[in-house]
Amino acid sequence: MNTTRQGNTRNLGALALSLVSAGLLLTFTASDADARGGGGGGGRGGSMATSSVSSANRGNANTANANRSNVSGNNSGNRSNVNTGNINTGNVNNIQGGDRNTNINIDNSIDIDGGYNNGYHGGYNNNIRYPVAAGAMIGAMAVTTAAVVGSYYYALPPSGCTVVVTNGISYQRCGSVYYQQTWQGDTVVYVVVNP
Amino acid sequence: MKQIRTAMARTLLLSAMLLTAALPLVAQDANTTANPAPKMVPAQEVSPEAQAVIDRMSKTLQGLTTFSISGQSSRDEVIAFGYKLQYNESATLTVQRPNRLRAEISGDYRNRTIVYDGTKLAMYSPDDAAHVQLAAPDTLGKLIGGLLDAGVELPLIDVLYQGTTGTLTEGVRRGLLVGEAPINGVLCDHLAFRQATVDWQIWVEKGERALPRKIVITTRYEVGDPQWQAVLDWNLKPTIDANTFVFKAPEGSTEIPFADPAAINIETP
Repeated sequence: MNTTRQGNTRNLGALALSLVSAGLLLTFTASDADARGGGGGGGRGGSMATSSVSSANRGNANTANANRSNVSGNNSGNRSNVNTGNINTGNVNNIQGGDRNTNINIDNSIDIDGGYNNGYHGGYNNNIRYPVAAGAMIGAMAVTTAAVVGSYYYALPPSGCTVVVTNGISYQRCGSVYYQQTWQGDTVVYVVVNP
Repeated sequence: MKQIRTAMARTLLLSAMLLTAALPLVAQDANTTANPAPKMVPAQEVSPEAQAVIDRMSKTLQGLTTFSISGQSSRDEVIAFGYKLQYNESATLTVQRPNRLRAEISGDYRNRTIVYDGTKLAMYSPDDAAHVQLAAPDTLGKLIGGLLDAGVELPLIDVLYQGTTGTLTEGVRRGLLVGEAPINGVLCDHLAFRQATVDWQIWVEKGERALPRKIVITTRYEVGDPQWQAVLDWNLKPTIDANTFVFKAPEGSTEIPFADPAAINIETP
């Protein structure tokens, strides 16, 4: 079974923007289907507008919630870091004529701040991109391909996975790693598990 | 005449905002000479006219029992090099107080069906072919609080919040009535608010039926000042049938666990 998720109503992977900068025509894809995490709100790349006053209030008023996703307005520093890292790197690799399909390898951009932002409660504002280890990897900035139990991803590895059912629960087995689909905040993610 | 009044209101608004910025400095200067204790800038200053509109709106929202809202919203995302993309979403919320809700959301980056029946909350993502079901609090007000805490983004949650558990002006520093403006042909009071991380505006129908017709939220201190905005359409006599508040898992959808039930203060059944 091909577990790559279907894009949403619009595949933004096809959306390419170009701009002229310092005489060079740079192109980059705004996003990528994998990175975007399918229909989920997760894995957003840029700074998203806050969509709720009460949510902003909640975040501001209660420090206990400070790390939660509803303080989307408050983590701009972290978020712009992620962006800059991802997109700029991509651009360097993609300085060329203004064509589409210059894919930035967003997949490899490990989120540097995944831990801090605590993308734990999901939501678009986490900017955490695949493959991302957050939650269990709080604070760990090392780039690793080792799957740590409890870390979560917005999409499965592109290499292909198979569905395995154990005790009535279905998992995705990708190589030697098992993932379980989990609802987190507003987003569906894949959590590394040990079934 | 109306235009002039609006222009005046804008000027007032502007000076009020500027004054806000200047106040702490003034206070500090005065303090260095006379009294070292800092003077408090008033925490909140909402003009009586603006507060009156908010109060009318609260009363209207709290007086509703069954209603449906259709919202067309757009949301900016600022990506690299300051490019701003806009995502659109449409959502229909059908609400029956005190504890029934159905939300159908379709948009550029998510599609969802959310159903709350007073005991359970179900959320379904067709793109992931997955759904989750959680035991839920017994009132909409408590549910809204739980959703806010858990980072579940329900569209137009502000409207529900205002009508149930609290008021949107909790975090407001300044609020003013800008003037009158029609939204989709309905004359509204236009209010503007400033608070720590967001500026927001709301257009509230004039008269007895003070329903919010448009909301704009500007995220501050974010490059490009991304905005979320929604225009609302109200139906105070929605069609509700036996299935409206019943969640039936669509064929092919897998029930999956919720990552952190503790966060939402509810437990998986």
